Amino acid sequence: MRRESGLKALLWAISMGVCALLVWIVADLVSRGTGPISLEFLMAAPRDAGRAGGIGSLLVSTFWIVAVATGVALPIGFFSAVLLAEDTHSRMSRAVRSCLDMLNAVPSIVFGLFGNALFCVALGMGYSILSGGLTLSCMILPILIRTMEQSLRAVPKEQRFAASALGLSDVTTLFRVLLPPASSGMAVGLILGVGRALSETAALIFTAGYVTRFPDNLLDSGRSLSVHIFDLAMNVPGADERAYASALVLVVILFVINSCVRLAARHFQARLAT
Amino acid sequence: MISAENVSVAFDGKIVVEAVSLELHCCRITAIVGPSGCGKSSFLSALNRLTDLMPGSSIGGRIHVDGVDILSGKEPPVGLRQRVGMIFQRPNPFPLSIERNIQLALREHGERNRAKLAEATEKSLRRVGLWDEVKDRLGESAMRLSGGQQQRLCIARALALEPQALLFDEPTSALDPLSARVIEDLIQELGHQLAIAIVTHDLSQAKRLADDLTVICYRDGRGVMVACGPATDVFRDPGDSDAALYLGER
Amino acid sequence: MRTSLAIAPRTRQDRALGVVLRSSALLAASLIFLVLLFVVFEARGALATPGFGAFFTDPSWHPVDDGTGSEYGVLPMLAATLATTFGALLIATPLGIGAGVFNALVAPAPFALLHRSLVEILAGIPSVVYGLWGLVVLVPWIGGVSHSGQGLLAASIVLSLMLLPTITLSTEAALLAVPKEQLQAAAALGLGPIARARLVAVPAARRGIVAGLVLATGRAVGETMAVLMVAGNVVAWPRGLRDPLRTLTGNIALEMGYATESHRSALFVVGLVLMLCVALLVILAGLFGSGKNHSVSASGSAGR
Repeated sequence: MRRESGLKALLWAISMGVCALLVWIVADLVSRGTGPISLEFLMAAPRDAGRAGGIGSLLVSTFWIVAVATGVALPIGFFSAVLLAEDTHSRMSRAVRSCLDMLNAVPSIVFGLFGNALFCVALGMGYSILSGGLTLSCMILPILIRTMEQSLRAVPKEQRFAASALGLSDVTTLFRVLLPPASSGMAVGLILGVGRALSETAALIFTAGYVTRFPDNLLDSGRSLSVHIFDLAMNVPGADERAYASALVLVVILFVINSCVRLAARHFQARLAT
Repeated sequence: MISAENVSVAFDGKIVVEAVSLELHCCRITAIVGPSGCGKSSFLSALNRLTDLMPGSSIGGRIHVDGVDILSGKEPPVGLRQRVGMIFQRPNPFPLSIERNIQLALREHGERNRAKLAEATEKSLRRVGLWDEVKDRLGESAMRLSGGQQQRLCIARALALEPQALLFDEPTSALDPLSARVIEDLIQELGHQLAIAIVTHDLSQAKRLADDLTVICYRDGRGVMVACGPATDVFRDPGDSDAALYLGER
Repeated sequence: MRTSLAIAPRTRQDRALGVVLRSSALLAASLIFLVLLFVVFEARGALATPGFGAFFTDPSWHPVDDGTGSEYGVLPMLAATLATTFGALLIATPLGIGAGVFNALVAPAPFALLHRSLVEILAGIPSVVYGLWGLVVLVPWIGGVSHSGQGLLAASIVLSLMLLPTITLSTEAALLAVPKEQLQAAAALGLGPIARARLVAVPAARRGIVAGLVLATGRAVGETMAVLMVAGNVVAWPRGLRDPLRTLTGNIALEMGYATESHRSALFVVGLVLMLCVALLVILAGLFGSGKNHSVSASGSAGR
């Protein structure tokens, strides 16, 4: 009995510690980061290597990089996930799944090398938003596919039997029967992908580049917010405060995206249930 | 309407049930009974080729529906499944509205006219006695219905396609006794309108419902048909020691 | 389960769907080969001269020839990668598993929910932000007055923060997947929540927990930014807790920007080494996963 309560106390202590750590990091981020934030900071391009000015251009670049990444990865990911979920045991599905497992294990910096070699050099896109976005799309594909596959598979087998017993076609079964209950899970997959793309730094340094001005088109180099944080912290003395402010913005964006899509997913399910 | 000759079902080459021959006719209820695990559900699924969905399955023998050999591969299973509906052990409505559940398959098979869809919805809900209970909330999610109502909705969903035969796979075993009774009465009623096969492990249910009875028993690691015929005859004289033992248990 | 989807094309739409599904999956699957192909292709120069062996026999890393010849030794950096990974796991494993067990089995429901969302927030913070926090808060604190503070300890701590949510969430998921019946049976025998966790749930969920740890190890080996920002980045064998070092990933990130020709090619070889490490981990994970009746035997031993 004493052992029981001792262990229990230990577990409480551990989890409180983890909570405290989180609170510490977030509080630190907020207390150091709120200073420079203003409307001008959010709208303007950086000046003096980031010691002055804002992060407006970086937000634009980041948006386009993530848009390219998810725009390319989403359709491929969705259809691959459907194949894997519906055709579980075929040799093809198993082969595809192990390839994706390996792809998922590739470190992001290696994706950076790959993206640099393929998109920047071989395909001649140079350091550009397009190169960066395409590199990230390869990187987020495994997680996108895995979560989407899981949410499709979570739909009870009986529903498929029912659909089939009614003679529904594959297209109808997929879009009318399987997709509605799986959609919230799919949304979660999408957020995870967007989150990963937004957070990624290493794969972007040598693909999307360092340029801080507003991009004119997708073939312009554009620095993402995460690369900016890294650069300010490591290479620009005296810009810690701005690095913190940029980090705060990034974390808030991630948090908002997470909450929004989760709310939307819940709303969608609620609508289904009534 | 449906005739099965010497049908066997195998998974990954291993036969689970074999030597089943029976005929389903309009306006008769055929009960298929036997101990659990003897392959009666697998056999039932073979009748509208739902076994296609189960990995590694293969069907032997011959099955004719309306004189057409359904195992030849000439007829696509879609049309077959419209004519031969199936109801499962656990109610499995789609997570859509009540109305949508019934209309989904109709729309799929080409019916676009709203008035006709509404008419078909009402008709099939009335046939299962659900109309008065749900007519004011057709837009609500089917998942909100009780288990028994869900099962009736599933039957209505199948009826909306105007099938000639319905296959029931232990349709009451997941329900409470009261709901089970409602479903049973409904099956009895439908038995006057179309051909019905029902797999059940409940002998008293079989006795109450069946016009014809097929007994499948477990022999040498696989299910084998051991008795078949008009229900009263088979119950009186199974003509097989295993069947007699099984039927005599109650 | 095999369904009719994409198996037996019927209508024209269905046939089209089948083609789309298959070609998407093939494209997705081919990416890993594309990555390998390009990395090897770009590394071919350095693989020819000085050759792959030189990367493991040269004493140090001086890829740019400044008159005294180039050296391509990656072993110190490999050791640094392994040291930071090990250090991070040492910190994060007990904390992560503890928090996961707490969340799944011990915590009162509302608190578990709160705790879980906190951990999810922690999981959602980008590595570069952890790196920033490490650089600005942690490093001066570790360094005190005499050291810079950048080094093995700082890198391990920052890295462990990133692994913590992974381990916690996978532990929790594995525990929640343990059949309720087993836990009810244990409760019926008069076991308290901790005993239930220790004797029944954790043994039954062992495989999922280990899989989470392997996953975390892979992330630690592959992580770049967080480590890069606090490790000090001097190529050196790991010796003391506060001595700076440079990991394989950090090396690529630092030098890729200005590397040309043979230097650039050498960095792709470093990438290849990194992929080999990760591949080894994947194979290891596969070995853990292939014990077929493991979960049965796990629940069997739990019943004893």
